[in-house]
Amino acid sequence: MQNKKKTLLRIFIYLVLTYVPVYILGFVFSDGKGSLTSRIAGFSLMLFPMIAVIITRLVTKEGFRDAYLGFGKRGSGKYYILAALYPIALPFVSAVILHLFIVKNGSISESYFANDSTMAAANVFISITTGIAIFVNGVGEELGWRAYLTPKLEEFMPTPLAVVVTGSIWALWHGPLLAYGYDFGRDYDFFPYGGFIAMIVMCIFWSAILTWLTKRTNSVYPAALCHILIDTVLTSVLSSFLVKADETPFELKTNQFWMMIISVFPMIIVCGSICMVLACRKKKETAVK
Amino acid sequence: MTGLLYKELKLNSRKLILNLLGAMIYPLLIIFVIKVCDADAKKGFDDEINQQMLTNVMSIIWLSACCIAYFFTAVIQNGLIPQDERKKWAYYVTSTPTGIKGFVGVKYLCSLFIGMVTVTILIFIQSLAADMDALKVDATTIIVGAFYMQIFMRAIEFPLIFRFSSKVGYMVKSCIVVFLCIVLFVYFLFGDTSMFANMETFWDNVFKKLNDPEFIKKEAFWLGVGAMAVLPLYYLSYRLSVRWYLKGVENYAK
Repeated sequence: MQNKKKTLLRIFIYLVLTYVPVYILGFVFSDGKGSLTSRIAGFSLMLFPMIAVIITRLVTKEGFRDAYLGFGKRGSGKYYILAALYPIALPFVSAVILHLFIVKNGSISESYFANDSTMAAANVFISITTGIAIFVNGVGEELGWRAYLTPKLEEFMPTPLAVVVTGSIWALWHGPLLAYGYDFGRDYDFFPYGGFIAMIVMCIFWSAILTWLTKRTNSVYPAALCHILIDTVLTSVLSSFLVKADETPFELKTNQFWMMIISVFPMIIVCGSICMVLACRKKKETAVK
Repeated sequence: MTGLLYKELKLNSRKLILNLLGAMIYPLLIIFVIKVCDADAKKGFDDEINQQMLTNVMSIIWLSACCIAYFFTAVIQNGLIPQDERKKWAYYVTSTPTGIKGFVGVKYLCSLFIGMVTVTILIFIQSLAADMDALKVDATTIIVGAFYMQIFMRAIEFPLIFRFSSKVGYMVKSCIVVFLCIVLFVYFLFGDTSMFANMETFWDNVFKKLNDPEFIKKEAFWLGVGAMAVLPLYYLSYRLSVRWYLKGVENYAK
């Protein structure tokens, strides 16, 4: 009972320390379109969960024993490879769905990506290498969400529910940006509530993938790699499928909100569900043994 | 492996913090100097061409600050291996379950992580400069490129240090650098140096090329390919270091 109270206190301190600075920066420096006017605020947002974890662990004298800071169990290499492959595959699968169902006039071969192969390859390579170089930002978020909050929540609830709660909290953490149109734009019905719901769904399934990677390797780094590559590769690659060779945008059947949901969500949901099932199955097997 | 990582952090924590602060202070000072100089210089230059020239000069100063930050990082990275150059330690670590692979791997991963922290610091300072309106260019690609350049240099240097111990390893590295300098010197003596004949036209050509989209496209492609190639090379360098580690132990003084 005493331990559970302590855990609750730790979760509370962590959430306050993560939410407060991000909400202050998010509202103070908002450009009103879902982005921030201050570059330093934008760049440092991802580091706040890590700072919050460090402060919480120091203040509550918890230590760093179970901080998932090691490089992982033996044979973790394949999970690192998976963590790198998933974000690279995601924009291409999304682009195929985008051109099959959403683009009104034109095909994938007319896109900027397919036409300018040199620039397309450069775009993919640079976004991957930039993602790896700014890996610390990925660690910044994952150290907070997957390596701290999820294990703490698991003390109160089963893993799938902990994943759902972490995903929801993680999505709402983006609140100040979502309120102005981050990721999903502004021209959709029920703005900005629709964006909040979509973000929660997206973050729950991503949380399942990232939690699975963290649990299988016992390390925060594969999840951090996956997270930062999603951030750098998805936007830059998918955007070159949204415009024609002359850089004029394709005409779409839907607005940006539905475009994101129809094209990007299927792979996120499928992979997230698989990871959730795998995580639960592994747990059952361990329990039987 | 986690234990070895902890050992590295524990042994080098002060050095790490001081060196990273060193890497941070110089670019930060440069940004403040740029801010002050830029404001003063703008009073003198009111035409667009001179303003553009000023921006270019400030960008070059900023890039030199980044180079110095990477120099600090190189100092920490190079200090990681010599501190464990003792025969007793080497044979002990070989007998542990983690073995040579784990020991060498931690050195490589620490070096990589220190480089990543430098990238984060530099982008952070660059963002600060952009917010202060002290810097008008986004040098993120160059900062990232320099990170991969540094990783490439470590990939070449580390196997030499593991194979011949740090003393001989650095000597071998110096020999390679001297050889490259001689090649460059010979080129400047007998090669085509017409582009350097007039420095004014040289810089004009450089900036003209930087504004040429076709050139940028090609450069971006080769930069991406190069950076992507560095990662497997770094891994191969690790495998080579693992193979050579015990041979290098024989060269240790203690």
